Amino acid sequence: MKTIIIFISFIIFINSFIFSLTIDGDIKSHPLLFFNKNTDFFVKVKLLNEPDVEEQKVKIKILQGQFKDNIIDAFLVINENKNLMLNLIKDDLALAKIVINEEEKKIVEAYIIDYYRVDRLFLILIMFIILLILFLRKKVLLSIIGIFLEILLLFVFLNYFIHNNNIFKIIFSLYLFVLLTMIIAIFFNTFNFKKSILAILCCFITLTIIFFISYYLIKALELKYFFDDYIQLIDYYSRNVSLIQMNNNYYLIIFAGILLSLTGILSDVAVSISSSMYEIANGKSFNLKEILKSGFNVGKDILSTEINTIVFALIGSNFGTFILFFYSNDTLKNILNKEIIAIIISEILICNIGIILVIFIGVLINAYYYSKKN
Amino acid sequence: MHITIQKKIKYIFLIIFLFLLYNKLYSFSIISARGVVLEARIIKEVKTKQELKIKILTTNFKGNIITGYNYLEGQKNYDNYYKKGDLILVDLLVEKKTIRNCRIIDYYRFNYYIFLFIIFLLFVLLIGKKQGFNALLSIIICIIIIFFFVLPLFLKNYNPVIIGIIFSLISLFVSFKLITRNKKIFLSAFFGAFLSLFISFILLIFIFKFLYLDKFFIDLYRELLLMSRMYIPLTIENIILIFIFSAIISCLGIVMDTSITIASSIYEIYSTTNNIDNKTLFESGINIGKDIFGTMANAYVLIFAGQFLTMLIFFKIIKFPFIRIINLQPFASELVMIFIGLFCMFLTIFITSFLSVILLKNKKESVFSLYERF
Repeated sequence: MKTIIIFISFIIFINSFIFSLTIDGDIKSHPLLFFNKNTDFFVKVKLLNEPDVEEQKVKIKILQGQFKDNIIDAFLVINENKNLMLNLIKDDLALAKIVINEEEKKIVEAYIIDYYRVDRLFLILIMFIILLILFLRKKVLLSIIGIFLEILLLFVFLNYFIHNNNIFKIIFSLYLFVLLTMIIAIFFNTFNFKKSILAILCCFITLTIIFFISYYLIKALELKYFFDDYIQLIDYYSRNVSLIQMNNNYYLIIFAGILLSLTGILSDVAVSISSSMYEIANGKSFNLKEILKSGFNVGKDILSTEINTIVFALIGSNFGTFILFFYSNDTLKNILNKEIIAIIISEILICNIGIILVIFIGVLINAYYYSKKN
Repeated sequence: MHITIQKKIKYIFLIIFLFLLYNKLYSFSIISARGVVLEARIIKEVKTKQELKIKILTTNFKGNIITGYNYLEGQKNYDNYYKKGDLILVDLLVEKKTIRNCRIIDYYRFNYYIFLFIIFLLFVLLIGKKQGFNALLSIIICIIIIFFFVLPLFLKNYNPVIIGIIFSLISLFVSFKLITRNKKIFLSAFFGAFLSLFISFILLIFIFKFLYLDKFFIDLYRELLLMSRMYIPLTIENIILIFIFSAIISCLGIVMDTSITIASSIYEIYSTTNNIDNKTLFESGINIGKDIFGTMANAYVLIFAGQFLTMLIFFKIIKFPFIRIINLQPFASELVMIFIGLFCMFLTIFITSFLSVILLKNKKESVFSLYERF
């Protein structure tokens, strides 16, 4: 418990350090952006009658915000294709965009834009967390808190990442962020101070090696900006924003993504290596050679189960892309040479090389430590 | 090792056979070749072209020097400006053994993959030895099954549920057969992983309905849906099932990892301890599950966070409020994907330890008597 308190204060300290780095400028959005922060609000609404097909209108009741309980007419686009358009009936909940007049504080128009998913999503999430805590108890609660802290840190970091113009600052903040995420992941999942310090040490060394190698490798891929849907959108909706797109530096976003994926896996492997080395060598007298031998035996087991995690996770999350590419009449060689596939392949290989490096370095460091101590 | 060299050779022959079969089925008259740029200049009369003198380095036309044109869009973000000495990928249109025409595709990125893959392979062989090689072999077989059998069958509009079940049975069988050395470990890990995957598949179908995720796509799957009307003969129900199947693929790796770890450690405990009763054996399985759950969950969440980083940056740039982001279909489906992976791992811990206890104890005790004891 004491270590956790010390650790949280440490995180707050580092966070304030990240905040204190100056942000260079604000994002100037595209003038045609379909969303204005001052006049447009998104609220949960309830449909009061069946949608009118001819006028494309429906009566709604607002359930949230400063205009709560107002009853107004809203536009609802109704189309024959029920799978591409909204398919709502009376008494359904929906998400609506309301546009207000800033001076008179009155609602000008309202559009129904989506199904309302938030409540049900939170219901599932809370049920799942309760299920976990009921069956797996205290340890899992701590790791869930750790995951939430990481997500919070991610949002803090993104704010800094987008707004900066200096490439050195961006890369430095990325390095700090990844390191912090790793430290959180290790601290909230091990309950022994010695183990976690050893795990952090070997993670730190591996990360530093992989960081510099993968930066130059990804730069060498010659990525252009049209490889991803969302990068196209980023380019369109924010003109002259920051270094990220002015100097064709989209590869930085991909680089950040790969590192973030790497972090979780590295900390996972480092924790399991350091805890099994602790079980093997703590309080017993071995020489360095014996500890190294049994350490590499454990490393072999961890390696053979761990290297498929990232492969399947990446293939699953990019399955739609694969289907689209496979249907196009291109040759296999040309498909494999495409940017988006190149990113996936390099991500898999970089992460797996990271796993092996962390096993190697972890075994060496732990063996050295325990042999010295005994 | 229980896997003989003959078996390994069989597997390798199987892979080669599958490749040959694939090449027979999908052969093209266009030849992809690697070339090196000997000379690059922008034609002054027409600035939308770049004339390149290319020396071909591979295929039958090795050593030929041809001229090709690189068409430019006029935007720095889109265009590839090739320099002297760049390696590029060229499509050659061949008629009667002479080159009719050529098309310049992109930078040549295969050297990069091969470089990374050789490093990876060396590391695997250095640390993992035979066991690491077997793990790598199992991954490669699974990837080949996904891309050369599952994807083409999906595109022919077969039922994704049946294909998914067959695929997961085959891939689990192959990888557990290659990794494990004991029959009982194999059986409990195999059925534990398969049952939990199956249960979460069925759960996902209901969750998709519950959260309206099967309607109103705004992501890549919308593109697929639009394409399905013109080119791909896919029905809408099948596209949704493929999407669900992709979530299952992404938790395949993590489930394999968990089930093998739990089954083998329960076996270790059983073989080292005399007269251990069922309840303590089961509880020790759950305890191991608790230990690995935290770090694995962390790794899984961070892999997905890295994957969807570009999406998050886009939402951050257009300044959508929190409720709108959470409510969007791609974001909600990402959350569901993470959730189902963790749930699948949770199920695997319980099912695998239950099955291991049943299989390890002698045959006279039936499932029901064991059930009463708990």
